[in-house]
Amino acid sequence: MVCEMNETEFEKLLSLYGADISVWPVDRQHKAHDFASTKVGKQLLKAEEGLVALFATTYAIGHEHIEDRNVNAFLARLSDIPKKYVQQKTRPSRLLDTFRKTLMPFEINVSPIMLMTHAAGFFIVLGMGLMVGFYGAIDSVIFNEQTIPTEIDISDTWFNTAETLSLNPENFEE
Amino acid sequence: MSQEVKNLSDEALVLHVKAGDEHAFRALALRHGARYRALAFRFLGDMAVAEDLVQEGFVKLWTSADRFDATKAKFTTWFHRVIVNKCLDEKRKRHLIPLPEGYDVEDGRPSAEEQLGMSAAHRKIMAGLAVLSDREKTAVTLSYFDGLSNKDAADVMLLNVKAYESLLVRARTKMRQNLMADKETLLSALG
Repeated sequence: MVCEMNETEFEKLLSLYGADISVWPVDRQHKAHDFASTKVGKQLLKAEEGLVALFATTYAIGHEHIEDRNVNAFLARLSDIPKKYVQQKTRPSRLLDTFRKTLMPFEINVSPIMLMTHAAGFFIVLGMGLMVGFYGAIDSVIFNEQTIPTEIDISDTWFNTAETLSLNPENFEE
Repeated sequence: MSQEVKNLSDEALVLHVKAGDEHAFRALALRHGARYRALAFRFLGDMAVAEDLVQEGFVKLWTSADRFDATKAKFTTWFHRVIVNKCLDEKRKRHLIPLPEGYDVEDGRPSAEEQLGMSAAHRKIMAGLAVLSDREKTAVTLSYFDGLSNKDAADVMLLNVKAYESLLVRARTKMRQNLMADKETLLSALG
């Protein structure tokens, strides 16, 4: 018999949907039935039924050992844990804690969402400032048809001594 | 133990445990202790080691309950992951432990299987699991023996559901082939 479904595909569908071919994808059911009638198909279906039965047995046993005689002793040991062990509270590292207290000496409860909103606001304003600085710097203004530089060059007085400055008559008002 | 504590959800109990409530811890231990003991036993096949390991997990739960974040996962998903990881670590460790001198002296004590009167079916399934990789074995154990949904089991294994289902399909295929091979061996032995 010519069969378009191969063993690999049959096995995959068997693992996905189980041995009941009627619940397999409709477009594959016809070919699956064809393959199921072959020797390999029959073996695979039988093995799948065995596997399902095995899982069912094991699952029916459930947590199969919970009723054995030692389980109560085990649960009693677990119940005694709080008597034997001290609870630890996780604390931030000392260094981080000191750093935080230095930056923010008062206690403040900020939710993560609020913190993220503030951070986003900060970066937006920072970005806008940078953009304005980069594209919008004004070098000069036109006043009375004259171009006046907006920057004041004070570099010519950087190396003057106090004496030079005080002896310069221009520094004195009439 | 008060009825009030018994009726609380696992996640609510952990919140109480964080606050140092011993009753809440006992409620959690009694609710889930046996289940995790069975889970660890399935992985390790040694009840004494399984009990030690689960006890260690519960000690950690008591001493460091702060580490559990109820907003991120269900308690059982988180604790399953803790126990499964501990089991896998234990199995890896076992491969590294050198055998002591004179180890070949036969241990006359009954095995865990004998002690627990393990059924033939269970022995068969343990043999079937032996052919699987650790990840496949974990998937089969979580889905078929522990009864977790695919979603919960995928969360335990930190996989998406699709990847988890592929893992399960591979595991089932291997187990089925192993069953078929066993049957053929038996039939050929019988002539």
